[in-house]
Amino acid sequence: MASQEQDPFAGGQGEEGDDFELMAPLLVAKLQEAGISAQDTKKLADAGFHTVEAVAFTPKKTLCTIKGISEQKADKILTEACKMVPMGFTTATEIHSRRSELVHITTGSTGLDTILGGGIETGAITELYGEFRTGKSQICHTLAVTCQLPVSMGGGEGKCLYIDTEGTFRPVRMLAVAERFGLNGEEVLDNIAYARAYNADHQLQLLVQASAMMAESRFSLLIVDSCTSLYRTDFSGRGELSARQMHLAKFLRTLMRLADEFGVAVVVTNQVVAQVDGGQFAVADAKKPIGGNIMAHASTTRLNLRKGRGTSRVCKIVDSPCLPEAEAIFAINANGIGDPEEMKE
Amino acid sequence: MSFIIPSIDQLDVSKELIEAVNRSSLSTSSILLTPLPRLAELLKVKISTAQSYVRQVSHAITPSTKRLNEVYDIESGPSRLPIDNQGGEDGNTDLGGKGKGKGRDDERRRGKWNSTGDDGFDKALGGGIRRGCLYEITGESAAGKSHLALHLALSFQLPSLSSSPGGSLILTSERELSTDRLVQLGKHLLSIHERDSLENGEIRVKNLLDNVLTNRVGDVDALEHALNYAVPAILESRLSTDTITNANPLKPRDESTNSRSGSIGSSSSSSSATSSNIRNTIGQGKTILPIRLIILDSITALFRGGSTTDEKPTAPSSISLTERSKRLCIVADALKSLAVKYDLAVIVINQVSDVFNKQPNSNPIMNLSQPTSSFTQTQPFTGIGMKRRSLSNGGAGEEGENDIPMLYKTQSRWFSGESDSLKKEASLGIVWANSVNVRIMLSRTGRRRLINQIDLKHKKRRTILQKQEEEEERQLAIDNSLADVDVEENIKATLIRKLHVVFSPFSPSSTIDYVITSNGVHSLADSHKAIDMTEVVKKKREKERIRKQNEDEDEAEGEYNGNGVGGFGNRSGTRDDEEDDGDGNQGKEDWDEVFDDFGELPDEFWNGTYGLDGQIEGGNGSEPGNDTRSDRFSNNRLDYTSINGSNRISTNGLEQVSEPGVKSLETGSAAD
Repeated sequence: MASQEQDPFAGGQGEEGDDFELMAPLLVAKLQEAGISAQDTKKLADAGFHTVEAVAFTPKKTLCTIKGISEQKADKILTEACKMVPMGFTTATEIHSRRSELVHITTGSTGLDTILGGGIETGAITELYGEFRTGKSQICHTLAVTCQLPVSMGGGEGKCLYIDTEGTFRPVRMLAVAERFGLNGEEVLDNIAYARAYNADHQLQLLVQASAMMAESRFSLLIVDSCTSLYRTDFSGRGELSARQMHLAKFLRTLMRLADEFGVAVVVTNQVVAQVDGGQFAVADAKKPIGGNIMAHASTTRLNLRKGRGTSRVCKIVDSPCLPEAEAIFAINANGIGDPEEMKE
Repeated sequence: MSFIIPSIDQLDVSKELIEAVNRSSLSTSSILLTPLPRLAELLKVKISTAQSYVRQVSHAITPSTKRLNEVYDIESGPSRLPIDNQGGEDGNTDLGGKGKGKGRDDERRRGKWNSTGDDGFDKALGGGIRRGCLYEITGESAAGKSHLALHLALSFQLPSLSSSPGGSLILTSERELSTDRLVQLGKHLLSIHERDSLENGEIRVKNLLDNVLTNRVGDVDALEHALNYAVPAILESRLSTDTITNANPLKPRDESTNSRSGSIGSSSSSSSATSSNIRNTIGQGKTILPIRLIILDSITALFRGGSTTDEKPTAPSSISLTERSKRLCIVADALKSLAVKYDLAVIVINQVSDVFNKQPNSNPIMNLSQPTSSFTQTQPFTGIGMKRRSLSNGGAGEEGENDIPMLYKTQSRWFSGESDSLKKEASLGIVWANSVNVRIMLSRTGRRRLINQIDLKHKKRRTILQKQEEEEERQLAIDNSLADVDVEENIKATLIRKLHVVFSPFSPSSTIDYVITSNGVHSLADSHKAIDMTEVVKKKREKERIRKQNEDEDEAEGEYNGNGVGGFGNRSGTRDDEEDDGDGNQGKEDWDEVFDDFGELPDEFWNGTYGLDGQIEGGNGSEPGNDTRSDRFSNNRLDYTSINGSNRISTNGLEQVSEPGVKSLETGSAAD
């Protein structure tokens, strides 16, 4: 993409130095320069806020609980503190340079990796949806192995956490994939933490354990296969619709927090529902992913899978913040996901 | 203007007043509201002094009023051309970047308007994006909301598009900013609008990205904290760089001072000087521009996720809803006061929820229990053709049946963004709808059209017969060396999207179609349509009345005329009542727009190599040609029929006979 054009960021050296310097924490007494009285800064220090940073990031309610700090004073203190401390705003330039170091986990198929910009993105939620036999679980099984590869080979160098709700977990598939990449089958299986969820609440609770495990050792992938099937049975009817969506929203927000905090890639699979009433869409046999608007907005990237000819499948990017709409063909082979035969020459 | 009353030391009053107040620690509002004798007592001054204090404070707090002609001068700047003159030109998006006369630039850079960079959008929005206002962009997922916000974040920085360009601040709640697309868009915008500066190296894409600041806000508390403290700090710090010339008023606009009119006047007359100054400052080392746009992406995620402290998430109760409304009002107020104080535009991205038809309710008692205002009980409210149906109808579950005026459902059709083609409404309810100034709803129409990605010209989808003819023609042309070979790769089946201005103080309600290409967001020419909601409502009444009549007749004959089949009258789903031209014809030029929301139709369909009876052109029978086709499409059961019925592509080589139900797809007027 950027090969033929000039790198727009070249030639900018020397300007960025000043913007990104790290500052040592400022003592709270520094607030006196801004007009806060010495007594007030002493009260802050006594309450446990010793640096200006600590003060700037606390909510106003907490500051008001300190004896002797009225609401107006807290307001003033916070205004001054936020002026002194960089409040976490970063420029897009900095983020762009950070993103070039982002790890992508290869899916095993070069076509798919290309349209995804290198593979499944870490730190974001990717949703796969499609009918039955389109390859959703197969991709998950392959990813569970490739995430353990070193980064130089396109992997994530971390363990995998697999939450299964439909009972489709087959370790024997993973052994086949491991052979393909030259990894030891036993170790590969050891690095995959597996849990079976039995209802929607249990599914949510598993995430609590997941975050505990992620804090202890390095995980690079969290798979939920499938995220919505339990909701379909646990909540039924229009009456429970809002309860279902609230629960789903909470589950997805927890997933997002895990992705953010630990930098893991999160892959969820979703089921589809057929549009029986037709309405305006009677032309194509349209299938919509379930979960409604909550699901749609929570996932960063959505991939639509459908069956191609023979063992080949077609994957299309439906919703992505930065990738254009594109299609890729991949195949389900004996050793996992790969390129379809004809492309192998 | 904000609810928040500034404290005494922020007001422009005499020193002794400030001292007196600090001594007795009174707040501004108590000064104004306490009766005079008591106030004199508290402040320990004479009554006449107290009186003068009250006068001073009320003077300081009251916003200054301006005469209407002063306001007009500020708005329209030196070139007093009314806004619709822009449409007098061909109204096409000028993608070549050439031919942009000085006059065009002046029209764009006017007062508080920032052009979006695209003429069609500017026209639909009434001039562009206006600073000092709170905009809302809403729509379903993958509609293009964040993308449009990125586009605006960049276009706000270009000096040729506004009199006061500036950077943007993006607060994200769901995911981190996607910078790859920013780089792509930046390149293209620069090459169109600032070609000279780009070539001189004055502005680079990196400079554009330097002026986009971003931060994550995880929940509503973090957002409020940011809006009250962190954001003002950043805004202030970027105002005081000394590389911005004095021609731009830099001080935050106090509500009591009136200094804008003079400076705007002067800046417009010396606009070329200002913009070249800005270009210089951007090109040099310091690339800091003041912030002119705040984007919040998205606000719904903050309110929908549920707080993380809840043990078990439950459905929203009335208490939690009022709590939510309260916080929404506070957030909206903070955003609007920032917009006014620092002269910037605020864009908030919202999501949608589904709209359900009411369940058919055969029990008339239930209808009685619906709350109605007492006014409607005593008198039937016949406005705009709404009639009260008798309760014995029992609510057949259609919109417009029980049109009780004060219900949310009846009122929301005017502001929620819901339309005939889109059964979704903006989230966060009526409180949020009343807090924003402008609501824009984006949607995917589902229709795809072959479009040349460079100049956005429409290309007709070719069928096999036509293709042969064209090939012959082209061969002839080549032989006579007259040909100009088409660049085939640029033509793609592009999804058409719709931008619907639901309500705005600056422009009438309208829709405009647009596409997203690798080069950015472009509106399609001649697609701007105004909507007249009262006409829409009237037509719907008529249609239902007629349908009800037919139903009653048919019932007598025992025929079932279900909702699903008779309800939709058109294939693409957007040629509906909202078109103002009144004729229900689908234009000839639309015959090769196909409903294909997720792009599942194969390339062969668009290239015209997928011909009659499902044969692939040039394919041998023995090849996997036949198997390919049947395998690929066996799931989809696609049946493409064009309006004139000349092509009928079917699966498995069998002709599919169109059934009576399917025929209504073609509005009954097509062949067959």
